[in-house]
Amino acid sequence: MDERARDLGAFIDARSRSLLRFAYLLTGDHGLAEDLLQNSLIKVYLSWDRIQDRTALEAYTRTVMTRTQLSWWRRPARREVLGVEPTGRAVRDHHHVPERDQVDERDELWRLLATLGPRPRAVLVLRFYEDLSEAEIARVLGCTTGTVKSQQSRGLARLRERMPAEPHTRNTLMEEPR
Amino acid sequence: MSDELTRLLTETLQSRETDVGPMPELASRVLQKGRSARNRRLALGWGTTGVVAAAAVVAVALMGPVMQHSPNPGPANSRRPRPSRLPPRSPRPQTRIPS
Repeated sequence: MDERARDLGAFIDARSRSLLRFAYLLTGDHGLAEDLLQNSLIKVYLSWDRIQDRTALEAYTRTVMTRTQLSWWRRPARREVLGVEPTGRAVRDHHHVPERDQVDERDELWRLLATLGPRPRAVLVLRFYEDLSEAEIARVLGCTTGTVKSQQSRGLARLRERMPAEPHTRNTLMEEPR
Repeated sequence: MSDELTRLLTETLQSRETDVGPMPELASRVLQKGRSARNRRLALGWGTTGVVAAAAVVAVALMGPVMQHSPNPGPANSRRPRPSRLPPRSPRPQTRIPS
């Protein structure tokens, strides 16, 4: 086994779970997340000789994953698979239980997150899950800090406008008409 | 509302961590596919080099005889005058040698 295979194999064994989680947050789909991770790791394998700083391998892999996800979105066939209708209506419980609201809120937000485009979604995941700064996100996405800021504020605004203000109101709004 | 939303967003993303399970045999699959993709790339690279080299050899082989026949009279309908149709040279003016 050569050095490349040994080092990359060890890296995958150690970090695949965390990377798969990240892929899942980017795609919102289990199958796509696995495809994304596998394809990205193959790209890492192919560009192994160009990676000089092996300590930054995980950050490099996440960058490859984010960019691969964005390029997949540009393909029309993929867009159809990934596309989710923004209306995500669901029947809700009439009884108001606070803990349940918390869970419902998250489910609702997760559904709304799937309606965002890949770029604002990637920005929000990198910002609020990976806890990266705007400059770091700009480096990952290969764009300017200004673009990151605008994508972030646009993504949040879209979530805000689709998310009713109060959980109680939300329950009433989300009920199916009888 | 924005702080509330970002807090909820962070919680939402973190709560989804448990959604994914392990991917068995991922390392071996990646290494196997990566190796074959690399070999394909190398083969493609050598193939391209081979085609370019062969084209260069053929071009040199064809250009050799062509270069030997020059100057070549142009074809009948070309604007290049054929050697036979060149205007006759004007006779040299005879210079009288003073005696």
